[in-house]
Amino acid sequence: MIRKRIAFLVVPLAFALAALLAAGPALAAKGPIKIGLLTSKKGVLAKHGSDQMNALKVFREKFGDKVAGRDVKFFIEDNESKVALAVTRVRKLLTRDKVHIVMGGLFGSTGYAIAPLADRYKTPILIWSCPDDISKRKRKKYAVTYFSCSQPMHAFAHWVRTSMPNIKKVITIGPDYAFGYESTGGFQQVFEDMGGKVIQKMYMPINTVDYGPYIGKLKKDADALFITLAGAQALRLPKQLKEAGLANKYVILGNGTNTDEFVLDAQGDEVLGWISALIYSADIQTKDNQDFVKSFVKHAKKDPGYYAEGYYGGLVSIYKAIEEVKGNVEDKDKFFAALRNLKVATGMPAGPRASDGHGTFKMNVYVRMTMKDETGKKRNKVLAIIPNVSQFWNYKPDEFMKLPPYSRDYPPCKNCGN
Amino acid sequence: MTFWLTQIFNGVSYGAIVFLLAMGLSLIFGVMKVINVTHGTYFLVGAYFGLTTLKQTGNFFLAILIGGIAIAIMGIVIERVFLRRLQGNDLGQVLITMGFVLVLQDAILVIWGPDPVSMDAPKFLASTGRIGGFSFPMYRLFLIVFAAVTAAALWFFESRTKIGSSVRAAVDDVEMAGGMGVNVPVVFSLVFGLGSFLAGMSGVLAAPWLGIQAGLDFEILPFAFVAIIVGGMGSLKGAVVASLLVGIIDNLGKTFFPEFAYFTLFLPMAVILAIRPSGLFGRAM
Repeated sequence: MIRKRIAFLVVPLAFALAALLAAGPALAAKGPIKIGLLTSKKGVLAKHGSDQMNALKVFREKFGDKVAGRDVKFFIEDNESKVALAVTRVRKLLTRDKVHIVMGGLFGSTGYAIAPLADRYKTPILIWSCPDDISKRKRKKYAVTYFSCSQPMHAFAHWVRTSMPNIKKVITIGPDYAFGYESTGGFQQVFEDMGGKVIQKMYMPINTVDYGPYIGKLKKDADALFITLAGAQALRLPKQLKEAGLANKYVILGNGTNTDEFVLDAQGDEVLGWISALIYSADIQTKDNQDFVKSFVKHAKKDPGYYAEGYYGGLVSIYKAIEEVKGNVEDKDKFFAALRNLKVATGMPAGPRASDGHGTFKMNVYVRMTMKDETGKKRNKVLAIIPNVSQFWNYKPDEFMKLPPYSRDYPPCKNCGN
Repeated sequence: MTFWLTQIFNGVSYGAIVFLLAMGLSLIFGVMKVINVTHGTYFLVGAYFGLTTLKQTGNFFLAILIGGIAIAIMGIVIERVFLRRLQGNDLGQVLITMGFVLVLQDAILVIWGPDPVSMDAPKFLASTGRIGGFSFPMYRLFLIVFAAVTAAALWFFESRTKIGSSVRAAVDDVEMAGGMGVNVPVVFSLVFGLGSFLAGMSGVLAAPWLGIQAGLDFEILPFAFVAIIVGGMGSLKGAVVASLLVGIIDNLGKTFFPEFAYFTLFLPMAVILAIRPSGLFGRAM
C-alpha cells in the first residue's frame, strides 16, 4: 500500500523534474543578461576606479538596466589594483556568477593577465586597458581590446613630426612595464621612421618615489621629452621636474594619461603647456561628449577623463553588440562576433569607432595641450583630431606583425650612443 | 662634477625622508620589539591630516606639527588599547598592526576619498636654488636641514635627558629597566607616541614632494625597513647612517643600473646582513 503511494508520488515528480530540465535552457534564456565589471576601488588605482564607477552611474541613468528586451544585471568586482587578484576576480565572475561578458582591466599588464581566461571559459572579455599584443600577435578567440596602447602614440608622433618640425631629438621616459614599452615604442617607431631621433630612453619602476636620479641624468641636447606616466607618477614627476629647474628647458610631449582628468585637478601649474595625445579629452566639443560631461560632473563633481569615458564607451559598445544579436547572448560565438565586428557611429563621447578586423577598433586620436581656461580651470584643450586611426597606423598589418612586439629593448635605441 | 653633486644631493635628500620614517620604526622596535607594519600608513594618514590643516589655516609648519600630533595620539591609543594586551605575543602584534593597515586605508577612502592630491609647500621652498652651475630644488635642501635638526634633537633627548636614559635602558633590557624603577608602561607609550609622531610628521614633509595617494604607504615603507635593518634596530646612529646609505645607494643604483632599480637597493642590504646580522650599529640579540 505504502509502496504504491510512493510510486504514485514519484512518477509525477519524475515527470515534473524532466519537464523542468527540458525547459531549463528556455528559462535561462529569459533570465537577465549578466555583465561582469572589473574595477579597482582600493590601492593606487582607487581614483581611476571611482571615475569608472561614476561613469557606470551615468550609463545606467541614460540606458537603464534593460537592453534588447531583456533585463541586465551588473556584477562588480574590485581587484584592489593588483594584477594577480584581477585573475581571481574574473575567474569568479566567469565560473560562479556565470556572466555573459566581462569588461575591465585597468593596467596594460592586467589585460595580458585576464585575456587567456576568455578562451578558457569561452566567454567574451572586452579588455578595457590597452595591451598591444592581444589584438596583434597573441590574439584570443574571445577577447577584444578597447584600443591598443601604442595606437594613439603612432598618430601623435606623426603629428609632432609634421606640426613641430623643430623637435628632432627626444628623450623618452616611461614606466617599466608593458604600458610604458608600448606607449614609448609606438612613439619612437613612427618618430624615427619620419626622421626624428630618440637619443635617450629611460624606464623606471611604476612605484618610483624619487625621480631625482633619472632627472639628474637627462641629456642636455634634447629638444623635447616624451613622457609616459601611470597612476600616481603623474603627481610626482611633473613636480620634481619643475623643482629641478628643467620645466622650461624641454618641450614636454607625452601620453594623455600624464594629465588625464582623473588627476588633473590635483596637479599644479607645472603641467601647463604639456602636449599629449589620447583617445579622449573632456574638451571634445561634440554634443555626445558635452552631454556625457554634464551628466558625469553631476555625479562626480569633476570632469571625466579617459578612464571614465572608456568605461562608459565600453558599456555602450556592449549594449550595441547585445542589440545586434537581439539579446541572444547565450550564443557566445555570435555575440562575440558582433562585439568584435562592432561599428559605433554615434553616442560615444570620444567619437565614432569601428572594428579594424584584428581584435580592436579604429578611432579618433586627440592631440591636446594642457592649459587654463578663462575661469582658471585646467583643461586638455584639443589641438588636433586625427580621425580613424588604426592600431597599425599606416603600416601594413601583416608586415607590422612580423616586427617584434614593443618591449624594453624594441625598438632599439640606435641614437643613444654614450 | 655637477653630475655627482646633483646625484649625491638627491640621495641625501631622499635619505632625509627615509630617516624620519625609519627612526620612528626603529625606536618602536628597539624598545617594544613590535614590528609596526602600520608605520607606513601612519605616514600616509599624517599627510592627510597635514593637508586638511593646510587647507584650513594655510600654515605649512602648523600642518607638519598637527600631522605629527594627530598620529602620535592615534599611535598611543592603538598601543594602549590593543598592542599592550598582546605583549610578548610577537605574531599577534604583527597581525594586529597589519589589521590596522586595512582599517586605516579604508578610513582614508571614507574620509578623504580616493582622489590623489598634491600639497604645495610655501613659495620660498618651492623654488630652485642655484650655486654656480649646480641647481637644486630648495625643498630638498629644507628636508635635509629639517632631518638634521630632528636627528640632533633626538640625540639630545636620548643621551642628555632623564627620560632618554630610561628609553635607552628599556632598549637594552626591558625587565631589568623595570626592576631598576623605570616606569616601563609609560616609556612604552612615550616611545610609541614619539615614533608615531615622527611618522606622521614625515608624511606631511614628504607630501609636497611625493604627492598623497592611496598606496604611497607601501611604496615608502620598504625603504624604512631596509634602513633600520641595515642600521641596526633601535640605534639612532644606525638610522642616520643607514638612511643616508639607502638614499645614496638607491640614487646611484637607479642612475647607473636603471634595469636593476630594486636589486641595487637590496643587494647591499643582503651583503651587510651576511657580515653583520644585527646591522651596522645594532647589538647582537
